[in-house]
Amino acid sequence: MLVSYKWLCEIAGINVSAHELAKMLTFAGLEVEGIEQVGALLEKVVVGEVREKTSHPSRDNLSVVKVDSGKGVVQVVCGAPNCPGPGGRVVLALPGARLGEMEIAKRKLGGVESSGMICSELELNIGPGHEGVLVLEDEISAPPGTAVTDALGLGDWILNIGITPNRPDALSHRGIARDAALLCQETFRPAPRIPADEGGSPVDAVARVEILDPERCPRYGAAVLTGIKVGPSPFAVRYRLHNLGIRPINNIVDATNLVMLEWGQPLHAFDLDELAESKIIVRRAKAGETIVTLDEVERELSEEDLLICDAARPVAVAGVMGGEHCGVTAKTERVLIECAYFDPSSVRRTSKSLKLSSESSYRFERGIDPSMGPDVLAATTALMTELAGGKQAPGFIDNHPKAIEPHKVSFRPERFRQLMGFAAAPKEIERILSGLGCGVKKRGESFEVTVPLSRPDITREVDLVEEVARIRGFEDVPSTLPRVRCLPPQRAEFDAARRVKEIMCSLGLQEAVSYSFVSDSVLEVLGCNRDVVHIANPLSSERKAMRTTLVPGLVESLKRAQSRFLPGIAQFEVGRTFHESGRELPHEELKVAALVSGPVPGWLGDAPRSYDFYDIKGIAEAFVRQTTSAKLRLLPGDKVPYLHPKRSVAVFVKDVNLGNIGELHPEVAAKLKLSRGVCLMELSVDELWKVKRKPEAAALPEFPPMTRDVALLLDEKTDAGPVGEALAQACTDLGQKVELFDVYTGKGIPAGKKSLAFSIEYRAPDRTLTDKEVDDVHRRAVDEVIRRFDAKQR
Amino acid sequence: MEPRQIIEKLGQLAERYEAELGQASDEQAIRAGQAAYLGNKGEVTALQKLMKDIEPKARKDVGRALNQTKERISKATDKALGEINQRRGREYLDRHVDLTLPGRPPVGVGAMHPLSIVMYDIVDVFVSMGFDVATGPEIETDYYNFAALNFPQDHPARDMQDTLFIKEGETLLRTHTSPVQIRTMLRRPLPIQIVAPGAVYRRDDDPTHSPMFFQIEGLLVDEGVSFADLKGVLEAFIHEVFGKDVKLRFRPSFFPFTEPSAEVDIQCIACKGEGCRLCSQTGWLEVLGSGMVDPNVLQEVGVDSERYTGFAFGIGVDRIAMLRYEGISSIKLFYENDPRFLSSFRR
Repeated sequence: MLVSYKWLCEIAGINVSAHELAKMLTFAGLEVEGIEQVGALLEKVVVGEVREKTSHPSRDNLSVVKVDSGKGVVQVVCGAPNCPGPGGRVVLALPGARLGEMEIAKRKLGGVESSGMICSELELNIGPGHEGVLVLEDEISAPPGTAVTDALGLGDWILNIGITPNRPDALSHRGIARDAALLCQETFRPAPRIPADEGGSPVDAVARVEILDPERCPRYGAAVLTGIKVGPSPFAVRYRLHNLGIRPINNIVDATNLVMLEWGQPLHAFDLDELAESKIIVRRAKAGETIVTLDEVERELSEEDLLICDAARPVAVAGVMGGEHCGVTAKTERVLIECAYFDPSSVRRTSKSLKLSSESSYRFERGIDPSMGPDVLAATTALMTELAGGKQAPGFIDNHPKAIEPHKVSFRPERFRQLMGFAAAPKEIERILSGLGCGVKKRGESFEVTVPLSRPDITREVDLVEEVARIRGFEDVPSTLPRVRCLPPQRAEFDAARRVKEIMCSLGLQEAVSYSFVSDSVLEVLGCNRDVVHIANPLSSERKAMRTTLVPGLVESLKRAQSRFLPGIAQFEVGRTFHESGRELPHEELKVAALVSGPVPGWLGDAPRSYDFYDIKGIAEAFVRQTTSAKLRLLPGDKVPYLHPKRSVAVFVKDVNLGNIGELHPEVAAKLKLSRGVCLMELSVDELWKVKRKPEAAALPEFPPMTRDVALLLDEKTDAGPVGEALAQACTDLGQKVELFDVYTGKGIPAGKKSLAFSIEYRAPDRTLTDKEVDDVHRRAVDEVIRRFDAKQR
Repeated sequence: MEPRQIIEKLGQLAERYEAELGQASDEQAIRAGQAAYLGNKGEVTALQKLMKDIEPKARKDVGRALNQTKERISKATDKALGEINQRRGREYLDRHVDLTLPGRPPVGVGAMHPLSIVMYDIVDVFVSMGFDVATGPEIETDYYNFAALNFPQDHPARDMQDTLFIKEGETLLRTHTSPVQIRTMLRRPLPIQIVAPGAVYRRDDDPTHSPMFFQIEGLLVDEGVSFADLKGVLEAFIHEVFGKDVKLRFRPSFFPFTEPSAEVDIQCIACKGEGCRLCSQTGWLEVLGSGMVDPNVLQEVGVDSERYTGFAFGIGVDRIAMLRYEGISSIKLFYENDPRFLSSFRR
């Protein structure tokens, strides 16, 4: 909310600098997010009085004006049609004056010398008016030569205050001024306005108000002014509104806005002569009923919406926006001013369903002070008659079917001490609460506090504790450390994710973090589009589906890297995937995925190569081995659709399928515009942690090993794994370790064959083995394998 | 040669080429074959060179025949190449690979994501002060994310967090880690002393906001816990992360689930409070939100709010990471996973 420092000081009766005030407010919970000086430093811009105005000798649209600048008469060429004649007073920028980017200098216009410029509001940045030059009103009495900043009282600071939703009272200058006065240790006593002149028939005789829904409209007040003259507001009013971000319209509308900014009460002015039967009816809309609002949009309403109607038709959406009919126009002579209290959630629902928010709905939905109606109406009629003339029809209408009682809350200073960790003196508590407008009565150790209706946020003791703490400031609250109790930890998931990340980093991969939402199309391409959870209001269709796999994020990283001329990545991600479960909340699973693609980092002279299946396999093996001593098995079958059917395997630990590793399916790669050879792993951390077993230390052997090697000639399509396993089985308990150390095809090997070389380590736990013993076992094992696999020994 | 002969010869060449194509077994052979006809010294090219000697009347016919032949050869080549490609694709899909060979032991220098580094550092500070670590789902119900945290239905406080809904009014992507407070208090006996790190989501996407970011929630509920304790704990945290000499200040603010509430600023770490671009000349940086747990929240989970009090806080991990590591120009960089960016950070 934009706030005028000058106005604030005026209402609060305080005298501090703008920056000091900003700091005070910020540390009392009204955060000043910006502070801007306005109207200052308009040097060489002065009040001028026109002495003579003649037509320009050669240009029809210009006039030549002689202006008294206080220090002599200067000649200025002026293009504005409203430039006044002799006696008229204007704002004159003399040579050397700076107006924004523009510097005023002497120059010739159509051959006539011009030594300055007569300015418009826009040129001075003091208002929106640019249709003509600013002509000073008679009320502004400053003589020619007076600096315009002083003459018009332009100097001010505009504070931009972030008002939290609990402080509807601070959506007004008076609300903020109350805090400001209290913070400056001043009594809040704003000067009352002189009431408007009354005349003519009493208000009850000229207008009637009927409330048909007291729940949504507990109070509706109104006043009527007659004989008004609608026109532009005086400069001071326009200037204030301009600075506070509201466009001046006419004196009646400007007055309602100014009062709203002062009091926080939204008002609406109707042309009384346009209201059928001079009557206001507050009722709920009929289903499908429509109204064209001021912004010229036709709105369809539901039975939940509250309407302001005359005897014939709706004229406003209550608390949100006026309708196209019955507004104030240049011809209006009698106005009815609405000053109502509408139920906050009702206004909010209507504003939400119509997707229509206004200064008015913003305040109503946060809750205005329902008790201020009469005072606000009095202030409004006073200001309006001052600006637009006329008289007030005697009296006010105050339809008040449902009373709203102030909250009574008891406050224990001991509770304050308990919550804040220090004691506040009862005297100070009393001072602060009364300063906030509360009624405070002492009852034994406690206070009985009546909360003003301007503070709907205060309903409990803790709210009062907050108020006292806020005004005192948090600065001198002591800092202490709480007593700690030891509790058994319950942090399995957190630890799992962390451990996984640490292991993956130790395997040489970088951790990636990607958005959890992806496009439906990428899930479809990957074949992972079952049980997808969707966002109802996504930021874009690319971010509509919750990921069911971590692969899209890593694929995105690879593509981004390639677009930045980086050949590949070696990254992993640990995160949740989301799966429709049929229950209230989707199933979330913690997974780890890795993607390696592109050249493998090598050392000097290493033959360059790209990541392949065996790299991702090595990563998966190392990863699982670092988390569990349970045996890892990689089996074909249980394929995932996005992996190459012959270059992928499922990862099992203790018969639990943790996920898969392999090369990206070439067709999927093509659809994703990636080249072949992208290697992936995706495993469920949740599943792994269920079966995980701490690695255990093996007993160290006491006796030396003996090693025997064997090279076997096999069919090219025979996999090495089963051969090794068969060897391990056949070499009895003495064969402790079987290691494949060479795979060879080429020279010396017949076509369609390959050579596998294994090394077997023999060892007994209780004695040193003899050569013969080992040779026998080894021979039998090799023969067994030769038989089973139709192999030949090389 | 007569024009008629040339045209005839062209037809024969095309036929011969197509016959030869059938024999070619790989891309190289096909390309070589094509060059023998269309290349600089190709047979078709040789005939084309005769064009200039042909009488103008017949030139048109020969030209047409030439073009048709070239086109026929090119088409046949493309078709053959396509077949070879398809065959190679099939082979790539069918080719036997011994998946049982051992995996290659990985080598290289890994790197944890800066958000993880910062998150674990922060969590470690609190863990060493006696906090446990809790987690909760990222897709939440309206109840845990809002209602139980004292965000009434139809209240403007709900506008403070722009929400991504799964089902409007029922389920959503959590907008903060605070629902873990509720889940923990419902599940664990008092006292409770936890931090809860994790991803959160808002419907916000501009240069300074990411729709997904990371928070760490803190909650301590016990008898005799006060705002002074909150100050003490957060001071200890800030001093641990940013250095012992960094000043903090607590500003009153509003969060529906705490009362009183405070935002915490630290003295700008770049300019030490002098005022610079990082702190928008204020000398201070907003780093976290905090407050005393609102009695409505305690009552909602069945905790006696007269006997027990507590404090809660929420720390933006992205924010702390950007303050801790210089040169991160945009929050978006965290989610782009550029390998060069990811390799820049160490604990």
